[in-house]
Amino acid sequence: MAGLSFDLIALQLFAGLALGAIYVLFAIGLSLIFGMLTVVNFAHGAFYMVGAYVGLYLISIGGNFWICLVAVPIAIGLFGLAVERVLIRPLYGRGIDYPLLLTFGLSYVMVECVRIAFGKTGYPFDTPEVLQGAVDIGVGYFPLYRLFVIGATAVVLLALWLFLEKTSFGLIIRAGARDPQIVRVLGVDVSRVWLIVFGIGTAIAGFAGLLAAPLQGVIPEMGGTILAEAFVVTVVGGMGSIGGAVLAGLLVGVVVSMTSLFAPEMAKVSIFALMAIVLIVRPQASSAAPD
Amino acid sequence: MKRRRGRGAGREGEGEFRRRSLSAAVQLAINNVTKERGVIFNSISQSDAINEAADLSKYTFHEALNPHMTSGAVGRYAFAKFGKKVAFLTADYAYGHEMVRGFLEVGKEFNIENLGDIRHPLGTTDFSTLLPRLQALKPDILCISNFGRDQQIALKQATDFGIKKSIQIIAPLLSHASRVAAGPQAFEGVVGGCSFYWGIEDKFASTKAFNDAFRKMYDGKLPTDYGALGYGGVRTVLEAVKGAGSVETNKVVAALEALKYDYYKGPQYYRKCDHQSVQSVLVIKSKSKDMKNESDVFEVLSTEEPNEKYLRTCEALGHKS
Repeated sequence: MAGLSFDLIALQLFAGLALGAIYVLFAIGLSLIFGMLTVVNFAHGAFYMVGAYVGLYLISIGGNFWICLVAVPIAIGLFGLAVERVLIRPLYGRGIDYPLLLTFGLSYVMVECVRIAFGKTGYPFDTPEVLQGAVDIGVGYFPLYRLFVIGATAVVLLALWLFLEKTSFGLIIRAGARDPQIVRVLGVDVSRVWLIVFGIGTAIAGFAGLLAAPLQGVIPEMGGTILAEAFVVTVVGGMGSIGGAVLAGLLVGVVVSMTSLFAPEMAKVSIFALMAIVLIVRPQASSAAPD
Repeated sequence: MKRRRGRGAGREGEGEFRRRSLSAAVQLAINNVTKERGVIFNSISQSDAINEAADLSKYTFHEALNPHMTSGAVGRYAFAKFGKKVAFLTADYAYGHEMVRGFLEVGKEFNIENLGDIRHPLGTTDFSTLLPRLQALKPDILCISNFGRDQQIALKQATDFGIKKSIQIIAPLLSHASRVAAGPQAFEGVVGGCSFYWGIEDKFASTKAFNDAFRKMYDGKLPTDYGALGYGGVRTVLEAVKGAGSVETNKVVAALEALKYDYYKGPQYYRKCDHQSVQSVLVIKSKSKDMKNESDVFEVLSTEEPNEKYLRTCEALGHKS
C-alpha cells in the first residue's frame, strides 16, 4: 500500500468523526430511554428502520426530504407513544428484563410487518439533489450529505440539551429519572413523563433512520447492525449518560476509522475490543448515572 | 426440486434432485450432504470451490457462473479499456477472495499493477472510512469484489465520495435485483459481469421464448439473472430425466453430462471433469438514463462466448486428466 500522508490521516480522522456523529444520533435515543426509564429498548433499531420506510413512503406520495425531516420524527414519536402506553407501561416495576424481552420481540414483529408491507428487497433512497456530491474540506473531498448529517446531529443534540436543561418539563424529567417516587409525591404524573421521554427517544431513532437512508438505502433489516454498534456506544459512554453517549459515539467512529486505515478487516472487531477494554478498565463507567 | 421416491424405487436419493440459490457457503454445505447421499445437486450460486476436486462429486453440477469466469470476462474487458493501475475493495470471505484471485489471474495478461486490496468484513454498512484510502491510491480501476447489500452500499457511498469522477468502478458480478434495490444513482456507470440479461432476446430465440413465457406468467414482468438461473437449473435436470427416460440417478447424471442445451441464453453444456456449465458471460454497464422500462437497467457491452479456455483447467481444479 502507498505511504500515509498527513492529508489522508486528517481525512480519515474526519471520516471517523462523521461516522461517530451517526452513531451518536442513533445511540442518543437509546441512552435517553435507558437513562430516564431504565428500559433497554431492543426495538430501537426497528424504530430507526420504520423511520426510513416512513420517509420512503412520504416521498413516494409526493413529499420531499425536507418535509420528511419534520414529519418522520413526529410520526415515529407518535408510534413510540402508542407503544409505551399500550405495551411498555404495564411492565414498569417488574424488572429490567420484562421490557427488554418485550422490545426484543416487538423488533421482530416490526421488521416482519415492514417485510409484508414493502417486501424483502430493499429500496433506493436518493440523496437530496442539493446535498449530492463531495466538497473540498481542505484535506480532501468529503460527501456533502455527510456534512449535513453532522450538522443535523448537532442541532438534535442542542435541542435535546435545551429541552432537558432549560425547560421546566426537562427539570421534571431529570428529577423523575433520579427519584420517581418523590416526583410522584409532589403531584407530578410520572407516567406521563415516561410516555413523553419514550416518544422523544423513538422520534430521534426515526430521524436517524431517515438520515441514514440516503447513505445506505432502505431494507427491513437495516436496524439490526447499527443496534449492536449503538449498544457499544451506550456501554462505552455509560448506560443512560447522554453526554457519555456523545463522547463515546465520536470515539467509536474515530477508532473504526483509524483501524480501517491500518487494518481494515479488523474495523468491525475494533469497536467491540474498545468496549471490552472499557468494561475491564472502568467497569463502573458502564453503569453511569443519568446526566 | 424434490421428487418423492415411489415404492420399490432404487437406493436412497434415487429420483431426488436439488437446485439451490443461496450463498456460496450454504451451497457448499448442501453439496456436502447431497454428495454423501448420492443426490443430484445443480447449484446456481457462485463459487470456485464447488468445481474443485475436494468438493465436487459425480452428483454435483454447477449451472451458475463462477468467480473465475466473471472476474475473467470483466477483467479482460476493463483492463484493456480503463487502465492498468488497479485497487480492490473486497469482502473478507471466500467468495470475495475468489473474485480477487480471478482478477489477478487475468491481470497477468495485461500487466496490471495491484495498488492494494482493502478487505472489509461481510455485512459492512459504512464504507466511509475505507474510501479515502482507496482514493489516495489513485487507481485507474477500483474492483469492488463483494456482493448483495455490501455491494449496494459500497457503490452508493463511492458515488457520494465522488470516486466515479476519476476512477472506473468494476465488479465481477452485478445482479439485477441489487441494481433495482440500490437505484440507478448508485450503480451509474459501473461495469460488471452477469450470466443473463433479458435484453439479449434480440440475439437468441431461446431468450425471447423464455422472456415471453415469463411475461405471460408474471403480468408482463421480465426475468432477472437469478430468475433465469433458477429456471435453467431446474430445466436442465428435467430435460436430463426426459432424455434418460428414468429418474435413476446414474442415468440422469449421464444424461446431464451429455446435454448440449440452449434453454434461455444461448448454447451451454456441462464440462465433463467438473460439471461446470460452459456458457457465455455478459459484460454489462449499469444505466441511469434512457431506460425503456423498469427492467431496462443494464447495457450489454460485450459477450464472452462459451469456451473452456475461460475456465480453470481440470488439472488446476485437482481433477485427473
